[in-house]
Amino acid sequence: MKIVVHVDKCIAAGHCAKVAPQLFAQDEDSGLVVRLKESPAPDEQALAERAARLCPALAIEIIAEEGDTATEGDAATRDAGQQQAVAPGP
Amino acid sequence: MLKARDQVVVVGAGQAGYSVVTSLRTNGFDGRIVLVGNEGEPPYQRPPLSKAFLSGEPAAPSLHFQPAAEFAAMDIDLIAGDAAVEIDRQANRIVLASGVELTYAHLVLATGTRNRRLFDPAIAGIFSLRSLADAEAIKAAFAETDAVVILGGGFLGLEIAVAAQARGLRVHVLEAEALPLSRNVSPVISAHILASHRARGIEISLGVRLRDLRTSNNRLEAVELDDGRVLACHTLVTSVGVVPNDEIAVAAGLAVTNGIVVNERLETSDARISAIGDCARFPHWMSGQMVRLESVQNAVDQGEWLGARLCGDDCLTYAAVPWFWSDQGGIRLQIAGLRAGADRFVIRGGATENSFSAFCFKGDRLACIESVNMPGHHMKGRRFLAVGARAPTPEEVEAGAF
Repeated sequence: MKIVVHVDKCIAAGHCAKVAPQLFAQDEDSGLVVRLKESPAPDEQALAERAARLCPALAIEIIAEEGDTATEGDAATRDAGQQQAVAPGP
Repeated sequence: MLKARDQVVVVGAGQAGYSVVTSLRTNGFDGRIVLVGNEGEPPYQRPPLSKAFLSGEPAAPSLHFQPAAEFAAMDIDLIAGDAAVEIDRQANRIVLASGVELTYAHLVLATGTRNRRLFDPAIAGIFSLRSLADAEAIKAAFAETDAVVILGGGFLGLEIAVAAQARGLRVHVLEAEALPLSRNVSPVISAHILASHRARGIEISLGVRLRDLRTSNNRLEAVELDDGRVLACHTLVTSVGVVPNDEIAVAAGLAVTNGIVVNERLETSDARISAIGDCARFPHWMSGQMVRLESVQNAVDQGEWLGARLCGDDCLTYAAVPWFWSDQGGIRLQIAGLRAGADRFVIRGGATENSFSAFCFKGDRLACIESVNMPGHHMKGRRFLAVGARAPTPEEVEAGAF
């Protein structure tokens, strides 16, 4: 897995640095994203994906590579959403 | 404060609803959480819908905040595709459209807003952007037309205009006021954005209203303007503001005034019910005024704060610095603070003509900073405006003394 950050899109929301401080920080002056690691370790890949999903400006891109730890795609997300759509008990 | 066996029900699975359920778990609540959304989707990002999603640029793998399976892993019952229709405050229970009843120890209303609709939805060719489904419909319409008229020159209307133009469409924006974004930013920022969009070829008509539609077989053919013009138009996107989804609160007898009224602890007039995000009207610590803010920051921060409060972090009032942004093709607009009532403006330029900030004051007091491609100024604004911080005076900003 490789992490690419698009600093021109970043709006300093700071979600990435909050959920994955080992991978992302915010520049002290501008608040814009600073990538701390290009290639996250296997046990950091889920966090990298989470940071990318939470970014409201879509400034973080995750490029999958062979050997990544398994992650869920869109289809899985949507299917699971439908399975989840059952009413819980009172 | 919640007890271990309590059940929290959150109505509304947008940014605010997602934020509060996450915060409850992060803050250690281990009772039941039910998150009810009416869109048939797990919670997702709305901001990209009017930007990358619509322009067709390759986007992130998913707009969902997290895969649906992760809600189960967090022991959150996600009900996607059902709507809360009634609150029974005596029984501490809500009723869903499906007939399901859910009891609550605490109820969070994060019902958001919906677009103001001006026209019969049965007329083909008229669109409005709020949901992922709306965005998909507009994207499909853009693929089959070479021109679009956009009614409303606010943030959303202009972002849609930029996205449409990026796809090669001819774009005409109709705005009733003398400048676009006139309710959102200072005239100097509005004028800059107007000039920039016109220079790139987006047509913008100001001071005009749409008087009537011309249709044929229930399909849009043209729009009539109040200045007498008739524009051929087969695709119209309206973005003329929103109304809060507060009907369920009205029916339950809660205080509602263009939004569900809450106090500085985000409690409604019933302390067992809180309201957060776009639907909530709250007393703003910066101005003392009751405000209803439509922003990601407000939804996220109120959700996080409320989750902490419900878990016992009970000593403070909600006092985050509001901020906003809009991305309009080469213009990264960031706003820190609230502009209402500002009467004095200091402009600080950056390295290029397309980078500067307007520092907006009420008298000598900094109200907000509006920045075009000046993220450093924006971050200073967030710091200057925080609780207890000292902000510079207009003279200090003019002198560059910070």
